Amino acid sequence: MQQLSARGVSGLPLLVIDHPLGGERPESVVRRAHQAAEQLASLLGR
Amino acid sequence: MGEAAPRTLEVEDTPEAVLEAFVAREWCDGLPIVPPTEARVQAMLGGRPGDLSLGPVPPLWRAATLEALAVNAVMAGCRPEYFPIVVAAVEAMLDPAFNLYGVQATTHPVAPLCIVHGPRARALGVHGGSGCFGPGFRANATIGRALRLILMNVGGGWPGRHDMATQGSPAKFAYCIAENEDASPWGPWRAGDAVTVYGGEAPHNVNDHASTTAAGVLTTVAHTAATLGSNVGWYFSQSQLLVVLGPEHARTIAGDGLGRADVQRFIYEHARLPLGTLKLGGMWGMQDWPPWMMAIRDDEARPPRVPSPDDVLVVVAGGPGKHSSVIPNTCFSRAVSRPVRWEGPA
Repeated sequence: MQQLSARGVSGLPLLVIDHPLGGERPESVVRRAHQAAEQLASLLGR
Repeated sequence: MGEAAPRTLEVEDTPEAVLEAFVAREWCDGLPIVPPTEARVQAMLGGRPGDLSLGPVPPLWRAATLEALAVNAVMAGCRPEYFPIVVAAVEAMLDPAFNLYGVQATTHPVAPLCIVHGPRARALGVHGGSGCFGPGFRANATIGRALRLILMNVGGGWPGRHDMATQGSPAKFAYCIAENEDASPWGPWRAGDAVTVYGGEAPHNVNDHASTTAAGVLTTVAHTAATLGSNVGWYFSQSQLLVVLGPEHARTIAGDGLGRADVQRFIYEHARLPLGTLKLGGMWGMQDWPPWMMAIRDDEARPPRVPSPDDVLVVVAGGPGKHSSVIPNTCFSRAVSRPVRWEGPA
């Protein structure tokens, strides 16, 4: 949030993907991708 | 040093109280500091304009004003004579090629190594001889520490928050050496008064007490440089290797007639691992290799770890002994050099 504020875009909506992705099994990555897509749809619909 | 931080702070005039005050505000690295009083900051500036900014410092993009740099240089224990070196190093770190945002924020244990070139810095005590990586040399320790404090206090790279290094590194306290030009059989790596910043890991030791030939020493160097756990080679186009040769190793290599370019070429050709080994771990599957490397199928083939021999940087530093070091870079930052302007505004 401090970085967003420093860039003057504190209201910018964020799509959050939990760290880490490296080392995750493919099914877990797919699950996160679906979650990210849902988040994105929600953000775009705001 | 948040945006709302007051310009002045009144603290009981004892070293303990000053340290407690700065630690509590997350304004220092945990070690005692020299209080940056107005008089000391002005002395550090030496007439330079305090409000002149070299640019925003990531990841929080606060302005690198000369005053902010001077405050941190005072805190680190710098003499005012060192300040032009600090300024030049910050200028170099802010070059886009250095990718300071990545260097600050990555999980990799990278720190900007400040290599100081030229006779004037050596006269000020920037040390390139025995034990140059430390401890014991005020100029090295305080210039390196000033750069770290600037990255923390101006850039906002606080461990675990915006500096996401998994384990950090002792090199993040202070990381500054001089090139030992007098001991280099090939002359200086960079001519004149200048600094080079290099986003590297802490030094990896190269111990070779046995070799009496260039081939022997350089084989040991190359072996040290190529490891599966290294960042170098995965993000290929930005990968570099810094080789800091001890003077004795350098002499042995030069004694066989090799120049600096030959050393670069040898290490480029030999600091490699078989494709089959690279497939075992590291960052296999995440590499951004060019198409010709991705097309390799022979598991015995040894693809290069850096794009060209020019990406093997060779410096001579240190004192007597049969040790050198290899410093892998973070693989998304390029070394950058800047002249040191001793007089007047930066």
